[in-house]
Amino acid sequence: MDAERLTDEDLLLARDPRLAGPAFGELYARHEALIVGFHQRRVRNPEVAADLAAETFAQALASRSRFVADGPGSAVRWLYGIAGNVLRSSLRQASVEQRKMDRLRLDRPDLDDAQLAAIEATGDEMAVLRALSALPSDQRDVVRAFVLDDHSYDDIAGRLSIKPATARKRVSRGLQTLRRELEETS
Amino acid sequence: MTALLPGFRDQLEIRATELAREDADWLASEESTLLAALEADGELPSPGADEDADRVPVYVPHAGRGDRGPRPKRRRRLHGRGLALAIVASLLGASGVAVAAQQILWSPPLGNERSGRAKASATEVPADMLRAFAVMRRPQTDVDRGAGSRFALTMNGKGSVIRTNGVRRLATGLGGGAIVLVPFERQEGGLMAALRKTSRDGPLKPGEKLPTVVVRDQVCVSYLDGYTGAGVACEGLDGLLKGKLSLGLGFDACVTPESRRNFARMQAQERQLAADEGRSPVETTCSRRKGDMQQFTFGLVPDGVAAVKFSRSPNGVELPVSSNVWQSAGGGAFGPKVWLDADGNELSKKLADTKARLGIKG
Repeated sequence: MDAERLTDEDLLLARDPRLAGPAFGELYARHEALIVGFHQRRVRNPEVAADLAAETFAQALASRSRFVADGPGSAVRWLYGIAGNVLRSSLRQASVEQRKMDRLRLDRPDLDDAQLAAIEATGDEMAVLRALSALPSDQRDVVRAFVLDDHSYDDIAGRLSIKPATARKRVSRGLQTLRRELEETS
Repeated sequence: MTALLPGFRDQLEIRATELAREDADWLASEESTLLAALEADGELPSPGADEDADRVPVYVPHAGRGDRGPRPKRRRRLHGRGLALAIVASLLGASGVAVAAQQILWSPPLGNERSGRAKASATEVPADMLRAFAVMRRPQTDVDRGAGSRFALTMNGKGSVIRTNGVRRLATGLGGGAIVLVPFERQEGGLMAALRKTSRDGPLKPGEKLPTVVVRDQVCVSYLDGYTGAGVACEGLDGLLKGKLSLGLGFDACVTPESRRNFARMQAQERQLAADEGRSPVETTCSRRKGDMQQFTFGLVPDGVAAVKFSRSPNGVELPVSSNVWQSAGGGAFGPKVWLDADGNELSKKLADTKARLGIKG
């Protein structure tokens, strides 16, 4: 299967038992760095960030049947929504949420020092800011507000006097570019 | 690029495969249970009836003609509820089709044991939606209430209130499954809807649960074949009028007899269209090798849209619209760029223009 050719949305919608595994693996590979970085920037602890990222993908896998594709970028938005929820839930409980990891019988990844350092680097705001600075200005502002400052689409739209739909599109495009940039950097 | 969480991708792939297998087994068992129950009730549509539903007329009529959609080619014997509905509909006449359909509430099994039971509602689909979509105005048929729709309705869960009399089987998708339209009176939004609300209203207090977000008057299209994939997409009136209701799915092209038949049908349709227009037909490739994943996309467009194009190029392929639905044997397209009327003229996709064209106020 050429999973690489498929959109994120199609990867999430793949249900054929022969295709679902490779498709979800491809989705994971595409967004691992961004989701790990999302958590690392917030918790400043690579081990916790790794656990939160693993739980994020476990929740995405467990609840993929609820995903509704409503346009390009909807899968990324959905993943970020889950990541934010996992983070909030963990902060509320003061412990790393790992219900879905347990339910799906997924093991916590064992990490050595080099891997922990690599995760720490994903939270390097300077790297993100450098990658951000390479984005076109219209995408840069919305991605900064969405990824670094946790603003909602409605907030971003209000601040920039654009429509929420436009904000969503710019965030999606910007995140795609940012992902490529960060992958190349690492 | 080196993986940040070593081995985790492999774990996810294995579990994703296992879960998909469990889902497929569950779907297959649900389907066979449902089909057996329908067969026992004598409610399964005959093969001829399915052909009627699946035939692919090229153009839908213009709005404002009070058209009630394609008429079955053959007369079929009606029985049970279908006969009662037909009598009520004929008594009330053409303009009362939607009203007539509300007189008897279709009550198929809704929901499932996993996600809870949904409820049926006898309320009418909003008038503006009826005005904009001929497929919703036409009477509900036995085929609409057939196995494909019943199967789709079992996929809705607790918190959904479904206007069952508005359910329509729109077409057979290119993967061989049914494309079904389901109007909802009420749906409880999922986690994302709740999170959007919290992002707007501020973070949750300690111990506070995520709020339940209720969405009203949405229409969903679902695709299910229990073999290659399933998906659902929903929109409210404005989204529907903008043509935003679309869904992209992957399937194994030409592996199942149904998908082979549907590809052949789409190709025949394309050849006919090309001959009518004096151009060379665009041939769609169709692999018979298992595991070759193809994609198809479909979507709903309002009345008056007879064909759609994904490119503004003069050589762009026109896809015909049938029962307000277009289908494309390709992926990645979340909506056509161009709408064409029956004369090949481009229609504006602006919401205000579409509302004006269809006589919808507000």
